[in-house]
Amino acid sequence: MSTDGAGATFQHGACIYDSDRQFLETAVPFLAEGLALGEPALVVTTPANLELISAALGERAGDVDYAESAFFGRRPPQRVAAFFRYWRTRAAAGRGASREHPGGASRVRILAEPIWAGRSAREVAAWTRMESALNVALASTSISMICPYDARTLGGDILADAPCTHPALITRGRSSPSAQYIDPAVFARSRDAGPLADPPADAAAFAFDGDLRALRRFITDRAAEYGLDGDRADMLVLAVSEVGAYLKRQPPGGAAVRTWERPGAIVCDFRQPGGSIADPFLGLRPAELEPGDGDGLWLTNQICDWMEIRSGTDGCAIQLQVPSRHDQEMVAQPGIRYTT
Amino acid sequence: MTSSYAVYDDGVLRITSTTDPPGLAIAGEIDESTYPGLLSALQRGAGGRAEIHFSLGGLKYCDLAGLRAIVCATGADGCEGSFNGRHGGRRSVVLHEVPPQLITVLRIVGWDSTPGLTLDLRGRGVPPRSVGNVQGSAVV
Repeated sequence: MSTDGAGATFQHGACIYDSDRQFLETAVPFLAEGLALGEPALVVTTPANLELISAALGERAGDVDYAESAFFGRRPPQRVAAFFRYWRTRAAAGRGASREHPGGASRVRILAEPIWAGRSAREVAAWTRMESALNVALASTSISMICPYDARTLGGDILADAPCTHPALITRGRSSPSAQYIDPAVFARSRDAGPLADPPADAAAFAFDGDLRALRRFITDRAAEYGLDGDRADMLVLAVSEVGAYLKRQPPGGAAVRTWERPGAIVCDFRQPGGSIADPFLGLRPAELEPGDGDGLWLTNQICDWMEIRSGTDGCAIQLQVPSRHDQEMVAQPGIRYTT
Repeated sequence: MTSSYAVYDDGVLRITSTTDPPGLAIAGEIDESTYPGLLSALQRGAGGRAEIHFSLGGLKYCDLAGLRAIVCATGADGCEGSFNGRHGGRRSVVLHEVPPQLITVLRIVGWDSTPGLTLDLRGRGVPPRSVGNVQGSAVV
């Protein structure tokens, strides 16, 4: 993979491997070259691959940043945010200054292997969509990213999508353009075609007319009804109010809001007849101090387990989902939802 | 925290000037309807000061844009478009009595490490003493 120049261009390649040796043939030169250039290098992969890399890098291993994939962004939106934050802190702070660019932001290398095993079809679709969306959401960064795909364990569909979601393919450390690469907006729309879950007949309903305080009162009451309290309730209110604020701003404003509980989750559904959301990456670009479109939805996306957007001829819809009171992860490990 | 006079009050958002420490006590709800009031109060309350304290104990709701405005009182990089950019300068901003969900949001968005921003995480009502990166023993 070319790493010429420190310009803000995101480089994103997939490496499909079917042996430890093949994995290391790409991973080790990628990281070692970065370290030699003084570029920050992060490895996000499985514990087994972390050990492989550590052993192969030898004494240089201590200069690499590590994360277990399962704990570096719980959901795709958090994963994007985690990548962005790594770049922000390691490159933009100047600590990653390279020989070519002393004292300034350098390129940052990330080896990023998602977890695919055990995921539902819905989750696989979301992570695949993210792989494609990274090309847009991280476009302003100077990250060079290689995503390893283990052909020994992954299903054919996941492997088949990798060349569609990565503009480059890496074999034995050599990068070549992917002929199958699909424009991320086209790819996202092709994956967003499925309908959202229909609200059940007994869902609680609220006609949102632009009054955000009334919307917050509604969702606060619903949260109490669903047995959510503390952080869970406050964060749900925030997530819902930011969606309301977004829909209010865009014509025709207002929305039909419905909430219901399903096993393990609370769902909140916004339908805006006549509305339209054209940006398939809305809520995925990390919010910064400089305001950007969809920042509020980015926050909603960080808070929720799911935020799905649909837009069609009859209007647009945003559906979000948070854990219900039956979720035990926050009990076992307080803060896990919002800090990993 | 001694309050002196109301800077803004529309029945939903109330902002009062405080003298010890010098700053603003912000209470109520911040969303797009009260955002202009927040901005004008920040302009009047923070303008010309090298250090300002915001007491947020009475803040029931604050959206991301409102939180950004408060953080941007620091004048940190990226805040150029905010009220502070027009009035110039960087300053030290200390947040007191920050509601737990706002601390969570600050962490999610990464603004807790904004240069010039300090979170006073000690018990409510305890006056601040010094400006460090994070005061108190609570874990952010």
